[in-house]
Amino acid sequence: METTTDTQKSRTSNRDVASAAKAVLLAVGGVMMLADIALIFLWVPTEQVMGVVQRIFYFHVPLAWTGLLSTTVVFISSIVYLWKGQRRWDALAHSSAELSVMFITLTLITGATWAKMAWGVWWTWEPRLTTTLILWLMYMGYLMLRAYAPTPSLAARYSAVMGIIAFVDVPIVYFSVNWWRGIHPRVVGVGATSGSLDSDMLITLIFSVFTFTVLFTYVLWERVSLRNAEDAVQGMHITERTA
Amino acid sequence: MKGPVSRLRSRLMAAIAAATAWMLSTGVLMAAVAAQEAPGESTLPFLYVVYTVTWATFFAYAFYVSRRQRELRRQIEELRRVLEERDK
Repeated sequence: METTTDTQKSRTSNRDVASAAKAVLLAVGGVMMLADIALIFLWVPTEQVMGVVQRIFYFHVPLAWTGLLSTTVVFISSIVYLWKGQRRWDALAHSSAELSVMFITLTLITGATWAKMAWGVWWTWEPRLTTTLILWLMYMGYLMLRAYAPTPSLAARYSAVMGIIAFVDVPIVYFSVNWWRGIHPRVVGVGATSGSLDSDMLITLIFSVFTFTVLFTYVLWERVSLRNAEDAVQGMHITERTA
Repeated sequence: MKGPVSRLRSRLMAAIAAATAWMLSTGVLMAAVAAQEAPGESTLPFLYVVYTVTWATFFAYAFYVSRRQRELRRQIEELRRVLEERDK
């Protein structure tokens, strides 16, 4: 009996530590976010050609970065899940896939708004845009596959395979601006526009990327905790029924 | 029952959301001033909508995850009590 109480105490203590760590991460992310907004709206100079709408760039690029980062997390955790078969890797892949959909959706929305101002159209079948849309569809497919799989173990296995296949599109999205002649600006890499950015603009962009990465880490952690809680409830319902 | 850390986190999120709203409105006002200086520019509403949609989506998701987690934790405690009583 004492052992059970000790285990429960240890579990509660671990949960408190995790909760406190999450609160710290949220506080750091929150302060960074406010500083980021201040930099974008109040500090960074207005771009001469595009004017104020260019400031979308400081949100669009970090959103795209976190979108690709989350797909990378899905890819790595899917491989590890298929290799080791541990449920926690599936939980991480599932949580990150949900965030991938959210961040890629926001990337497409912010990009479309920027395109309307820069190119005069909301959407064009340009290589970077098209491959990003394909990426979004693949991760929507990933979530649908999970939802419709007959059992949780099959859902985990099918979606792990899907998570690996979908990742093939990530380097295509990244290199599409080099491989095909499109109109999307190159932000990072060879011939990137970031190389010609004013130093204040570059600082704002880098700070924004860090801010979104911190916020992504926080939300991913929360989502994994939610998934663990969902699994625990499911497990307890099964125990209740079989008891 | 909410723990002190959980309560602190909820308050922190509310404070951040409120501060963001304030910063956004201030930022938009400042940007509006800058836009007035550049003739022929009418892109500010697009900028405002993009930022609002981004943060609103992000916070809506974070709140959803946080609330659902609290709800599930309550269910876990309830189920644990039921199972313990059954074991007795």
